[in-house]
Amino acid sequence: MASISTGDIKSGSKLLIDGDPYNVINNEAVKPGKGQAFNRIKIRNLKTGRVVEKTFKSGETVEVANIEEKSVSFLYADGQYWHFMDEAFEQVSANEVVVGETAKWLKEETRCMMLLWNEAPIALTAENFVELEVTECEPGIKGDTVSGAMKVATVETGAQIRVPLFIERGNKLKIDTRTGEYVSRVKS
Amino acid sequence: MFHALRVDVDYLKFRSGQLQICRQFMAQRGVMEVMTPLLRRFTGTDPHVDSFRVGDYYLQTSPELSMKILLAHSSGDIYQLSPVFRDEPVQGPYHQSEFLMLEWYRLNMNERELAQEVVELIQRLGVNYNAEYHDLRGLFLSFYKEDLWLISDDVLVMLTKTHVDVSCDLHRQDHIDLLIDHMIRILNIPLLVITGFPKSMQLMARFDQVQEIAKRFEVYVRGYEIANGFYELNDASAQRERMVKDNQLRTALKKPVVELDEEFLLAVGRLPDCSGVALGLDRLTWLLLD
Repeated sequence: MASISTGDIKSGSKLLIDGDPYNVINNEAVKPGKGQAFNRIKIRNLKTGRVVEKTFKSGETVEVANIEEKSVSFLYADGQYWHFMDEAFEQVSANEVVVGETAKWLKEETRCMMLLWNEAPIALTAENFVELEVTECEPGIKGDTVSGAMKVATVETGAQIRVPLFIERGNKLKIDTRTGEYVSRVKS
Repeated sequence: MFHALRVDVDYLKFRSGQLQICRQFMAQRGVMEVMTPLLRRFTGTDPHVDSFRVGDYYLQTSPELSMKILLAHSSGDIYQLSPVFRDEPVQGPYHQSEFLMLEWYRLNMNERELAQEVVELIQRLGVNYNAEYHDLRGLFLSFYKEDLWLISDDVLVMLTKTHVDVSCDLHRQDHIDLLIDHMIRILNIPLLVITGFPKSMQLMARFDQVQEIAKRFEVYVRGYEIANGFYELNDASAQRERMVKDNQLRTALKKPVVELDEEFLLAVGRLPDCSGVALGLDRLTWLLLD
């Protein structure tokens, strides 16, 4: 197993701690009380997304997690698994736990980042913005671009999002996948 | 890895202004500027502070040793504004191998009086907060409901377990350091002065046998340590004893021992009644511009 010294851990390093893979957010050297130096490392659990802080003695070594990031595009879902193709045209499938909330932005050829731990998928994130067509919503109110009032629209992947009143069925929308919020109407 | 050259003119102007404020502040109080050698044959013994070596010389980790020699030779109140060097891993803007230190010594002042002067300077440098003064024992007691002076090893371990996620074996002092650090971060007091440390954290401060406190202070801005001051020890044999102990710990840590600086030890015995403080100007600038 590869390991890394606390001094070499950087933002983005992948660590294996208590059996779980973590992504390092930041690593701060601290020397409280003029004594032993420590590294306070803020890490995100790649399986649960939870952020925690761990303290290590400076110079200690920590195991590195074998994490690979892959750009993939969505092929289809069969009800149990979601199937993707990577850039080497290899197919890879992921279950509900891995795909999670990202599922609602997936249509054919949607590009995603897949995180693999020891070659098994553990997380999937869509690109920050996706463009999806409205398949269902109340008729648009022409000209209302300022009132700020919102209504619910369903897009082609089945996701429901809040949109301004002037949006109509067939419009293409830019959506921020991190917040699930409408950004703008895309001119087609 | 080291101190990067900053070419941002706004930063340079701010920095230049800060240096002027420091010099003006000292001049107004009749404190004389001195420049002591950055390369010396001797260096500090602190087991947790390592010096870079240049041939037979050490880059100074602090001007303290030289300045105390000057004080013993009747220099009167003095300050030095110069870079210091520490051979340790660099991480982030608040922890560098080279940083600018303002160190000054005031005759006939105790650590509490000097702490107030430090607060005045920090405020003049742009920290617009009122200072909160706390003694460590009281602060620890109100935060953890335990008396740091009487706490057992078991309770310390338990407290650390509850508050800090550490995955390694620790010495008693490591627990204390981490708990104090945690407390200061959680309290997040904008400008905090802590005085009165336990014997295990006395460093170069005088120890008050009656109150059982080391006469030291630390100043924190938004949870970051900015200054560290002492009512200076002027007992040469006690100083020697502490340095010999430092070297024993260095050996235990597999670090090279540091030859004792006899000129410095002689000076300690002749040191006038004074307090001294080191202030990390780079860190303060970073906090002010952040």
